Parts: sequence; C-alpha cells; structure tokens
Amino acid sequence: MTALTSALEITKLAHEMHVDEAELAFLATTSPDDLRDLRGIVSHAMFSRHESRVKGLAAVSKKLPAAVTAKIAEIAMGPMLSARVAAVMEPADAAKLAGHLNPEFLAELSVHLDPSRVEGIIAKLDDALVVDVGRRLMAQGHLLTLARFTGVVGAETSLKVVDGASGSDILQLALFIDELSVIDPILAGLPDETVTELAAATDEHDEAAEALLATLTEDSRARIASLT
Amino acid sequence: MSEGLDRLAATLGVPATRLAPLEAYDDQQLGRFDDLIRSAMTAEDKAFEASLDEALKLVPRMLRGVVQKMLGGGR
Repeated sequence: MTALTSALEITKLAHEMHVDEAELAFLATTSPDDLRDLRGIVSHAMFSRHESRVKGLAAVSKKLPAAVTAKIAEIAMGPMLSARVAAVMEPADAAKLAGHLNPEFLAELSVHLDPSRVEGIIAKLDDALVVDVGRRLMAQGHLLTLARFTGVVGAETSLKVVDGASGSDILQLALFIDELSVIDPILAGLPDETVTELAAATDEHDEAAEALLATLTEDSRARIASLT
Repeated sequence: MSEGLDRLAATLGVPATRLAPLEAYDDQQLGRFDDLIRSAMTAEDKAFEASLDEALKLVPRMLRGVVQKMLGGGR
C-alpha cells in the first residue's frame, strides 16, 4: 500500500510543480507522509512568492464592481492569477465575485486553487454552482483537482458531482482524496451498480483495493463483499 | 546536511532540517529536484507578470495609478 500511496503523492506533487510525474520518480522511496509534507512546503513556497502583490490585487478588487473584476479576471488575469487572488480575498467578496464568473472559467481556476485556502469561500457558494463546476472538472478528467476539493465540499455535494461517473473514475478519485473520512460516506451514497463497477476496477490492482478498503467502515466492506 | 539539501532548502525558503526525509538522496538528485522547482517558479513568475500586465490594461484609467502603487509602484 505504501508504494501506491507514495506514487499517488508523487502525482500530487508533480501537479503542484506543473511537471511530469516521471521527473519525480526518484522520490518513490520517500514515505507518503513525508511526500505530503514536501508538497505542502512546495505549495507554500510557490504561493508566497507573489503574496504581497496578490493581496494588493485583492484589495483593488474591493474597489471595483464585482462584474468589472470578473471581466478582468476572465479576460486578462486568467485562471492561475485569479486563483491566487481568490485565495487571499475575503470569503464574502470572493463568493460574490464567483457569482459573476462563467462556471467554465471557475473550473479552470479550480485547477490552480489550494482548496484548504478557500474553504470559507466554498462554504458561501451556491451548492448548484459547486456541483456544476465539479461536474465540469469530472468531465475534463481533473480527478486530482476534484479529489482535493472533496474534503472541503463534503460527501453530500461530492455525491451529486460524481452522479453518473464510472466506477473506475470514482476509484481513481477516492485514491487521490487526502481527507480519508469522506470516502466512506461517498461510497455509502453510491448506487449498487456503481459500487460493483468500482470493485471490479480494483480487480487487477490489489494495492488499490487494499488502500480503498482501509478507509471504509465494516458496513461498507460488507456491502462491497455482498455485491461482488 | 548536504550541499544539495541546503540549496533546495534555500529555494523553498525553509530550514534544511524541514527536508530531512530527503537526506537519503544524493546531490545530483536533489540538484535536479531543485532545478525543477526553480523552473516551475520561473514559469509561474512569467505567467504571473503577463497576467498582471493584461489585467492592468483593463483597470479603469482613473484607478490605474492607485493600482500600480498598491502593487509595488514599479509597474
């Protein structure tokens, strides 16, 4: 299980650094916990480089109507810079701004966001908008990004996002999730057909099955056993 | 602590002790990792500056001076 979880952590670190995970393959012998710490250090180092100017932009956005800021964000700032600014905005201001942004742009922006920095914003967003953005991420295959948000939005919203997704996509999503406590309630809310698909997807991946089962309650394990 | 670890720690802005789990790797591996992080930072810097320039063009003219001052005055 450690080899798989280290590999998953390397994928997350590669995402943070915008590099191919093969470039970081040499880190495979590092423990998952140490890799997670390293990801946090790298993330902080990248984020803090422009923090003062990003805070300046956030302060400027308060002086402009939300519709104007939204236009500037979509046309000029782009998803990466917009994500940085959103992370330092007051949650109420950011939530108001989000209401003026195209959901497709919000999905692109989400790829660059650190969900732990925007929990307060997400809590203020309309659930339908969160689900819309989540489904776009799912459709575009941004499972890693989606997994990072799953711990923040909770099981109920996550279930709406994954409604209709394949068992193998949900398995991949579950393996990427940092907040392990949300996996069991998500699985509990999935229809039998999807759980069966998910279990089948682990057939040739013993480590994946082991990693998944380790996050589940006895009831969920029994349910999987009864379906397979 | 090795030279490679010290260099990496300087790039990441942390004490080398925070990177102790990477002590097992040699300087060549750590140097490559450091290069990748520096490249990522440089790429982000470029994207950041380009986005900022574009954003400033759309800020209402009346506010542009104030915005430039808030962003450090050097733009």
